[in-house]
Amino acid sequence: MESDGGVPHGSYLLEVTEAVVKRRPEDVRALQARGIELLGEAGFVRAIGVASGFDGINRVADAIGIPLDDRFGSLEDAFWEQTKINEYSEGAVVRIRS
Amino acid sequence: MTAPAEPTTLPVPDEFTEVHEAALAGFVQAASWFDGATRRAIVEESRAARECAFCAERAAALSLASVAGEHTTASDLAPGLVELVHRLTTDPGRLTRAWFDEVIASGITPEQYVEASGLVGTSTIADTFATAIDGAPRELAPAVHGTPSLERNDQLADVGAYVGVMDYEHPHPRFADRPAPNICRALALVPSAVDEFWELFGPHYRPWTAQPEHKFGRSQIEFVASRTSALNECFY
Repeated sequence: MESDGGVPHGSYLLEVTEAVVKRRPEDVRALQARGIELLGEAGFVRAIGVASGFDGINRVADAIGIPLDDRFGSLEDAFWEQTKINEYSEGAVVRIRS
Repeated sequence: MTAPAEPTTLPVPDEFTEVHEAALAGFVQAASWFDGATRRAIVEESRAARECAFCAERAAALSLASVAGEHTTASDLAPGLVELVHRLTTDPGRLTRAWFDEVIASGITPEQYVEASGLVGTSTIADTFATAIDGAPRELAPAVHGTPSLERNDQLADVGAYVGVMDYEHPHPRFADRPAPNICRALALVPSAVDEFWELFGPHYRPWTAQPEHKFGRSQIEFVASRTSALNECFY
């Protein structure tokens, strides 16, 4: 069973997001009635809108190869230190690229 | 693959409808570095990429180098542009600087690269949304005759991306009020690409707490956004 991420109706949102991003309109239709029940009609459309928006913005980020913002970078540094990933030989290479 | 626009039974907000109509009109008009026919072809090529057997085989392979073949194309775009559009559409999570360098070496200028990338990103929003709501992407209008403006922004900063991004210390006047995250700076080499992308994306991520009946809140927005990024293997 997949996690709901601790957000309301998280498991359902995972399903509808996958249906939208993988462009399976028949799956979106199958999820529609439950989505309207859980989120309302407007909320269901907004959920589709968020998934669609990020489907596009992911491509912009990847095409341009933008690095994480500094504020995320400081969190990332702590993660790298905590997990000792830099002690792996490939870790240093990856760290430089990020 | 495409279907004419038909009314949906779902209540699509006016702010969505307006920006989607504007985006669709823009897909077939000249912008900064491509004319309308080429921009239309880029969008059609992005749609065709989802049916490209070579792309599907590469996306499924552990190593891209292990797969040989040719793209199934829907246009007469230059090979480097076809590769850019297909890879960005079907396997965006594994793009590298070496791949970017190959695309540029094929004869695509950085300005064209940025405009095409923004166009793929923008049309992905439009097509993914239309497919979920109406079952298929909207049909494109015929290309509109026009001449590219050749506008570029020379006030850029090097943050380690493949191309320069918006420079906040010396901002282009059109970007003075833009927010600071790197993603918002990404397309700045071509100002029209910045406008085109963000005008469509904006309503898709805007909070709508003014509507008291909403049952889809901030944590759920971020959850859907994160899940989408994970599905696309985007780790920005």
